[in-house]
Amino acid sequence: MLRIQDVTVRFGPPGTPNAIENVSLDVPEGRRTMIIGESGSGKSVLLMAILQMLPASAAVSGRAELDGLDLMAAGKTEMRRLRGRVVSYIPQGSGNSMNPLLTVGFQVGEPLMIHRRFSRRAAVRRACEALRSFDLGNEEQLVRQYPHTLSGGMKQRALIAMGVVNDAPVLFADEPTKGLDRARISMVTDAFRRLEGKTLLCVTHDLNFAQELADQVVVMYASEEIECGGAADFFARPLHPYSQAILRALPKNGLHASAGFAPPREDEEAARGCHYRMRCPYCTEKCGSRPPMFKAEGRKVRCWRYAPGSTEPEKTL
Amino acid sequence: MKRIAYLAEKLFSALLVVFCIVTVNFFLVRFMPGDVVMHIVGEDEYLNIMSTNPEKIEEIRAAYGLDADFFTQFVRYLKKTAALDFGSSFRTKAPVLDTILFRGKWTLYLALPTIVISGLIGGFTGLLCGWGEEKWYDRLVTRVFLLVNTIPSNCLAILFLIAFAFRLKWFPIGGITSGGLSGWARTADIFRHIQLPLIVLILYRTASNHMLMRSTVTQLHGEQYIDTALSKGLTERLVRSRHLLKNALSPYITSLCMQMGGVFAGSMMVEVVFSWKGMGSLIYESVNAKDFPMLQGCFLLIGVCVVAFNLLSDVLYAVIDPRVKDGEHEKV
Repeated sequence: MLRIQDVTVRFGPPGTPNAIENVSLDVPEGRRTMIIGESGSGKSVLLMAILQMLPASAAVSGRAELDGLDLMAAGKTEMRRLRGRVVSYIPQGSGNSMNPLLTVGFQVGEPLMIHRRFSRRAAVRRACEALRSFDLGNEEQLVRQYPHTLSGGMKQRALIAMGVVNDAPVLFADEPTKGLDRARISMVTDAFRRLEGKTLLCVTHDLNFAQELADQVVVMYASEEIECGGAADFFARPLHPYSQAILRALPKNGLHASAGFAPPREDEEAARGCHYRMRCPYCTEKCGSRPPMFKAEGRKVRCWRYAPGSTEPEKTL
Repeated sequence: MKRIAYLAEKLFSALLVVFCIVTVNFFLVRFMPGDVVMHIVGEDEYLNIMSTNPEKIEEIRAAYGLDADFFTQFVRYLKKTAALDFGSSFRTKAPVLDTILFRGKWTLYLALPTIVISGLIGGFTGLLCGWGEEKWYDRLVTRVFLLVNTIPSNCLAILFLIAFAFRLKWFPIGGITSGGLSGWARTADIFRHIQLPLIVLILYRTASNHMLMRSTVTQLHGEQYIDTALSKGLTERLVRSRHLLKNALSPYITSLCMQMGGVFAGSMMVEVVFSWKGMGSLIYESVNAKDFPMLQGCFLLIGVCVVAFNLLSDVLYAVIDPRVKDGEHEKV
């Protein structure tokens, strides 16, 4: 179990609005947890903060306990030992996440050279096997190729292979379906399905992808975690008005677009209360103060409508 | 195969540019105001001949083949250029090629160590400061080099000359050698003379190399593949040497090749200040004396050097970056 407690990140001097604020969640061992939310909500920052890969100028606080070890308090050397061996990071394949001047085989096998002292040749051989398990095709040739010769879907699957090549028990993935078409998303989904027994914490915009894979869903909005619970319950009956809005916006649910945007972090007025209240159809006077996390239907939700004693919220989906 | 096609295309472009340089060199003198003979023999000599023996002008015109039509002249010029016959300087009467080779040698003594030493030091400090952006050593080194970079090279040379040669008398004031020496004594004397101009040039070039490497590394530091490398558990040193250095080398090598291309003219101002009788001061003297045959030879050599080292940078780029051979370089 990876237990994330009160993680807060701020870029800039004290007084600057937080990029993420008091995020706490439990990532169950061997299960897939998906963090969803719009751009700028702080999803990727959370992953980077746990891996201690944010710029030195970022002020980070909180804990991320994995088997009794606080990852966020680990020293530099210890963190280097943990990255790629205990916690693997799978970046998005649509960007420049692979070094353009090194071969795919070398990059996929590199964690083995670092953590297990594999020779280059042995690491590339193992990389070839890892790539084969994700059906990339012609893997012997592929390991000698450079990243620019791979399609987005191939690159993403190669990055997943890179994440699992060293058999790390915990995997962090950052928007693995970004920029991919339907067919390639399905390949990537299939690749993730094969990661049986791994603890996966994945950030995504893609609700269909999340629905297909998730055991647990975490929703983030404007630097806060606003809902967390089992995936089946979440997709059947989302609790937070924002969660309801994003699911209503799916084509299969009628493509009901939600007006407006998340308030900018600098907006002090919006930051004082519930961050979603400007767009919320259920906004009341109470929403002017920041809601804590309430327990409702075995889930966590940050909305006054689920405060003990509130009237039963209406079903919207 | 794609790589060979890429290199063949670059070689063809280079040859085309050399041909253009040769052609422009040919027309330069002929399209200048005044008689072509005046540009070939020099203004003073021309006026002297005109007043004493005007028929000789036509003899000179015939001797240089200037009485023939343009096309014939051009073909003759191409043949002479191919045979490295650039005529004689009207200032010194010495063959242009011999003078260029002699003066070029002294420039190379200055320029080659400058490019090598400043390339290594500037690259190393730039890499270190770019990676440790805003750390104390970056603030110190970058500010010093920024200051050096803002001073024109001739000013820097004069400042060093005043401080270290005139005031402190640590180095000779100028020239290549004191004269009257031979063997090891001469070599040691040349070494004494070369130190100050070399220090100025190395400092100046190191500053610009540092700034280039630092900005490249700072930019690359934000690339996703650097985060990917760190996430695998690589040490910062390994990330720098394995993932960052090679990517940072492409623009750096291009810049060093450009410096090599401008090797003969790049240290002109410093050569003039230190009375170093190299190519730079040869060009300076020739411009002052309107010595066109000499300038033509110098320009041709400089032009060919620039094209040749440009070609070398293209070749190295293709060796370093696999995207180049696949025609992907235009997208990156």
